[in-house]
Amino acid sequence: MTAALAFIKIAGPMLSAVGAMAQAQQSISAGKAKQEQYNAQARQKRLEGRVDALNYKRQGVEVLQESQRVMAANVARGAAGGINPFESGGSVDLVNQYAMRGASSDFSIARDNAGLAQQMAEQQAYQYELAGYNTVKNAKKTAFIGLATSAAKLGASGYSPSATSNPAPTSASMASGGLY
Amino acid sequence: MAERLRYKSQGQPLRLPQLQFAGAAADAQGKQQVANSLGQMSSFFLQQTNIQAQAQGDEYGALNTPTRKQIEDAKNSGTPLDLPGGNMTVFDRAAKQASYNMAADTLQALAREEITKKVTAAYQSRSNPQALADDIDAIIAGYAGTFEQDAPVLTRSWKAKMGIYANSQFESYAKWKIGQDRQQTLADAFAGHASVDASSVIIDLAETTPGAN
Repeated sequence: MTAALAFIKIAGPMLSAVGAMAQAQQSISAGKAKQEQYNAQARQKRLEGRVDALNYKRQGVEVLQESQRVMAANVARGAAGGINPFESGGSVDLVNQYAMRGASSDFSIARDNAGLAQQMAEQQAYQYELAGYNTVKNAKKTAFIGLATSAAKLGASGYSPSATSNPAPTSASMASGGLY
Repeated sequence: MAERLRYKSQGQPLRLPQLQFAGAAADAQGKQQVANSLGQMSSFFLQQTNIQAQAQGDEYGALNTPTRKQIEDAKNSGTPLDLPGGNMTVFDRAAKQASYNMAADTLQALAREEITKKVTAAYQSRSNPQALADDIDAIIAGYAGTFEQDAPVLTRSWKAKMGIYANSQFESYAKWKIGQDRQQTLADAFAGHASVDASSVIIDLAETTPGAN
């Protein structure tokens, strides 16, 4: 019983200190793991942005293809009807201009959407990277504060390593009848 | 005849993807954790400071508690004791409490001494128990008055404690006085019937004399 109490008296504060350091280490590790997670999310977001941008570009190409198909059909129809399809200001030209107006609007929107998708994905990825950086920074701060608090608590408990260890018997004390 | 085609607008709107401000959210969450840790740390230091202030207050109050002579002077002059401490800070409250506790002990010792003197005097003079009760009440009230204004709760508790002691002293004296009175009555009765040599008469007298039972 006495030995157990002595062990607790000596090992207790040391275990507390080791535990506090392990806790601080774990806190930083958790922050770094979270940062990895955020970085992965950032990479995924960049990829998503590129895929979205490509999809919008494909939409733009489809718009251009459709407008070409419409204009070609109009030219062919005009030629078949005995109208000069390439006459500037002619009816075929006017119909084609009308078709181009709608197509150019759709193409512009598709192009803008592609740009927005890529830029916003980049912004979102930056946000995730920033989140990871902030998480690690704050985890370090929390760990440091936790360590400082534990050290203060240990100090306030009155623990002193020299006070707990028994003095080693010297030759003089042995000669005068030992420690007891 | 060539096919007649018209361009159909796709009607696509501009799409602005939602942006999640994860950086700021993570920073806020992390700073909240840091704030909590700082709060725990500061509350620990505050607790330590309070403990220290309490100990220092106890020490100060004990060192600066009124002396026996100061208490006697205050009681005789009817002025309240000038005790250290107050109610505002932990230090003040601790000083006040420690000082009151020590002063209460001294007051109790002084009051007991005076009560003992009065009771002894009453035994010697065989005075009326009611007069002794009044004297004891006056002693307790006199000492309690020295710190009643500053510490009413403590005074009440002190009065109750002293009341128990005073009551036991008074009860002993009253019982003794009743016995003495009865003996005196019997003695007087014997003296009045000295020539009668009949024990039955004396017994009858003892039984019928008021206050002799």
